[in-house]
Amino acid sequence: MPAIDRLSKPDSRLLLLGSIVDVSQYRTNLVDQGGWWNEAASSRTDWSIPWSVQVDIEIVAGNTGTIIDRVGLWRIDVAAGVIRFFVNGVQVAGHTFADGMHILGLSLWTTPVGARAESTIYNFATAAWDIQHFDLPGPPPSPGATELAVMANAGGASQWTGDDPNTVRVGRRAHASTETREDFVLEQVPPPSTFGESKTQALPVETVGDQGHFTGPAYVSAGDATIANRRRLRSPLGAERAPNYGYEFQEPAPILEWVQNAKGPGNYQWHLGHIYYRPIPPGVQWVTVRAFLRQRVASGGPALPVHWRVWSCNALPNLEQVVNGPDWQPLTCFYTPLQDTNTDHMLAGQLGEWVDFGRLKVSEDGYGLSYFLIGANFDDADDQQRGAVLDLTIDPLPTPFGDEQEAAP
Amino acid sequence: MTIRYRDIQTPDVPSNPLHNLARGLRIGKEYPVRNVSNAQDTIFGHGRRVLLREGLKMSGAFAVPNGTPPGTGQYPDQAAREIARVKAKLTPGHYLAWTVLSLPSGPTEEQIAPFNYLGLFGQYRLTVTWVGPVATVVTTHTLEPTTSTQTNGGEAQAPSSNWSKIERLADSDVFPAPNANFDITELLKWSQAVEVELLLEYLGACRPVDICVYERPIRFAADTDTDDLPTPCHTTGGSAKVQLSSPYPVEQFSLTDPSQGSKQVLVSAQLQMRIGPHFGNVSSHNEANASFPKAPPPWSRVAATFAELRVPVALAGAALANRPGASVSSGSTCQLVRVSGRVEMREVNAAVPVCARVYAQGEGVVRVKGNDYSEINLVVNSPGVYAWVEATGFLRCGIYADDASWFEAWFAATGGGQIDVRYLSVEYEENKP
Repeated sequence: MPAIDRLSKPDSRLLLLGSIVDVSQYRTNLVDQGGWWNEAASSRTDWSIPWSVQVDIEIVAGNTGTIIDRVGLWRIDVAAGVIRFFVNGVQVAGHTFADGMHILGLSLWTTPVGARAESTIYNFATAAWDIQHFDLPGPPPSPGATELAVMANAGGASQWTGDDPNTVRVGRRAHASTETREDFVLEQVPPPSTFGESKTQALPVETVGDQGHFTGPAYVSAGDATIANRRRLRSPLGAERAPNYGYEFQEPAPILEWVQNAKGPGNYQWHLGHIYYRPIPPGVQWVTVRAFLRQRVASGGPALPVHWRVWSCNALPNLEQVVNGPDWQPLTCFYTPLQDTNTDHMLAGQLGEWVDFGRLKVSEDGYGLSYFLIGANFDDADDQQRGAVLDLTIDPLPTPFGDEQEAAP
Repeated sequence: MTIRYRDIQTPDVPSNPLHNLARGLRIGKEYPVRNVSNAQDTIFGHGRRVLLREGLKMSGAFAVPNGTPPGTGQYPDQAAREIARVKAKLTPGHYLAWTVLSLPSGPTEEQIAPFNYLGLFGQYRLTVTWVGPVATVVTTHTLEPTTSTQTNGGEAQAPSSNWSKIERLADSDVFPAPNANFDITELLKWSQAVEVELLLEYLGACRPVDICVYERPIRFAADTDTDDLPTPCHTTGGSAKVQLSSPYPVEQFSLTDPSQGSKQVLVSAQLQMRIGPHFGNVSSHNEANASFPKAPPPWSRVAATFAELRVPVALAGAALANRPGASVSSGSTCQLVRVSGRVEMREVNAAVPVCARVYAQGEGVVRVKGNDYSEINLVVNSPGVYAWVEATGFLRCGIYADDASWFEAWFAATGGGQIDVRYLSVEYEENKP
C-alpha cells in the first residue's frame, strides 16, 4: 500500500476504486501518486496537529488489524470486536460496533495545557453515532516518522483483514502564521477537475416515498441547490461611497435644516445625505452593515468617542404622509448596536477605519423597500469632534425561509 | 409556437421545508420533491438587484443653490444633464423599477447673461436601452417632484424642515413596451438574454436625495417548440422528444411523472452558474459641486502609476482593510462550486466571477481589485470618445455573506496620454455550463 509522504499537504485524499470527480479545494495541484492523491511535496507542513483523519470503511465481526497508522504516534485499529484509537502508544478510546459501513474519525487539537482529541464512529447500517472525547495522555505527538500508513503492517501493527476502505482523508489544518498566501493565488487559471477511482460511496442511491415516487440523490441535490439558488440574486443594498470626504457630522449640528434627530436611544443625528431607500429581496429579514468612518478633532485636541448607529425604517419620520392614505404606516425603525470611533484619523495619517455594525433587522414599507440611515452621536460636549462616513455597505443576509436554518450557505 | 410562462412577481415560498430533502440521510417523501419544483420555478422572484444608485451620496450640499436670487448665473437651465450610466444584464423575467427621494425643485435660468429666469422646474429622466435577442428599443421614463414654495425657490429653513419636504417618487413599471408585462408574445422577447444600458439625467434644478433603479421580477416565458429556446426541464415525460433542458424552469414538475430528477439537477446547476448579484455602480458626478455641466467631470489621470479612482487621497502603503471600498460580501452566496466550493480556500477566501464595466476615454488601465492578488484590468484605448470597456474575471470574496470583503478601483494612464473615467459598474458574470 502506498503512503503519503510526511511533507505532503494534509488535505490529501485517498480515492480507491470507481469513478469520482473531485471538485473540492483539494484538487489544487494534485498529483496522482499511485492511487494516492496528494500535493507535491512541500516543506510547509508536517503531520503534526491540529489535523483530522477520516476513514470510510466496511467493518464486520472478525475483522482485525491496523486500519491507519501514523507510525508510532497514533493508530486506529480493530481487535476483539472493538475499534480502538491509540495516541502515543496508549489506547485512548474504544468503540464496539455492529457490522456495516463505517466512518471512523479522529481529530486532535491543541489546548493551553496539551492536546485533546475526539474519536467518532458512524455506522451507516444502524445510523448510530458513537463519539468520545479525551485528553491526550502526555504531550501532543510530534513529527518523526515519515509516512502515514493505511492497512499496512508498519510499526509492529498487525495486518488489516477486512475490505479496503473507500476513502481516507486527512483534513485541513490551520494555517501557520507565516503562511500569508492561499494556494489559489498561485493558480493562474482554474485547475481542471481531476478524476480518480473509488468504490461505490456509502450513500443512498435511491429512496422510495410513501407514494412510490423515486426521490433519489438527484432530488437531494436539486433541493440543496435550490435553497442556495434563492440567495444568488441578493445583491448589496448599499454600496455607497462619498465622492470626496462627504458631509461631516459635527457638534453642535450647524445645518439644522438638513439634520434630524434620530429615532431610538441617544442623541443621534441623521443627515439628509445619508438616506438610502432600497428594495428588500423577498425573504430577507436581516442585513449586515459596515461603514468606513473618519473622525477628526477640529481643535487638534484629544479624540473622544463618537458613537455611530445604523437604522432601517419603514418610513422617514417626517416624510409627509397622508395618515391612513396608501403610503401611511406607523413608523417602525430597527437599529444596530452603537459602535464607536475614537481616533483622530487625520492626525494619525489614516483615511479612516472600517466599523462593523453587525446585523440589522429590516423594516420594510408597503412597497417592499426600506430606508437605511446612519447617524452619529456626540455626547462628550467638547464641540470639537467631527465624523464623516466615506463608505457604507449593506448586504442582505440569507436568513430563514423556514427551511433555511443556517445563518449562511 | 407553444409559449409557457411563469409569474414570478411573488416568490412561492413552500410551506413544507426543503430540509428533509436537502439534508440527506432521510427517507424520501413526495412533498419535498414537489416543493423543489415549486421553489425552483420561482427562484427568479427573489430578484431585486439594485442596478443604479445616485443622489446626494453623502454630500452636504446640493448643486442647486439655496435661496440665491435667480438671474445670477448660478442655476441650471431646463436641458438634460447626464448624471450616471450603467450597463447590466437583466435577470431573466425581470424589468425595472425606480424610486427617487427628492426635495422640491428650484429655479432655472438661461445659461448666458443676463441669465433670464425660466421658472421653477426639476425632472429626473431615466432612459433605458433594452437590447434583447430579437429587438432593441429605447424607453424614457420621468419623475417630477413639486417645486419649491420657499423664497427664491430655496430649501425649507426651519430645523429638520427639509426632512419633512422629502418627496417619494416611484415608477415600478419601467418596461420595454407598454404591454410587456401581460402580452405573452411581447414577454417572450424580453425574458432572457437582455442587456440594458441605463442613462440617468437631471433636467432643471433638481435636489436629489436618493435615487435607486432596481430590477423587478415580472414573468418568465419560453417557447417550448423552437430549438433555439429549448424545451423546459419539466416535461411530462410522455413525449418522445429528447432535448436539452432549458436553463430556466418555467413549469412546475408534474407529479404523474416524477422521473425527471436528473433534469432538475441540471436546471439547478445551470441556475447556479447563470444568476448572481449586481455589486454596484459609481459615477463621477458629485452633487456637492455647484456647477451644471452636460456630463459629470471625469476622474482623470495622466500619471502611469496607479491611484485610487474615487478618493483623491494618497493611499499608498495602506492595507486594503484600511481603505474604503465597495462590498463583495454578497458574492459569497454565488460562488461557483467549480471555482470555490462552499467551504473553500481554507475557510478564508472564495472567488466570484464578475464582469466589470467602465465608461471612459483616452488611454489607460482601470484596475478593479478584490485584493492584491485578485484584480481585473480594463484596458481603455478610446482617444477622444467615451465608450464602455468590459472585462471579466474573478474577485476575491468571503465565505459567508457576513464576511467583510471589498473591491476598489484604481487607474493609470498609458502611452503618455490621459485617461478619463466617468462610470464603473461590477456585476456577477453569467457562467454558461
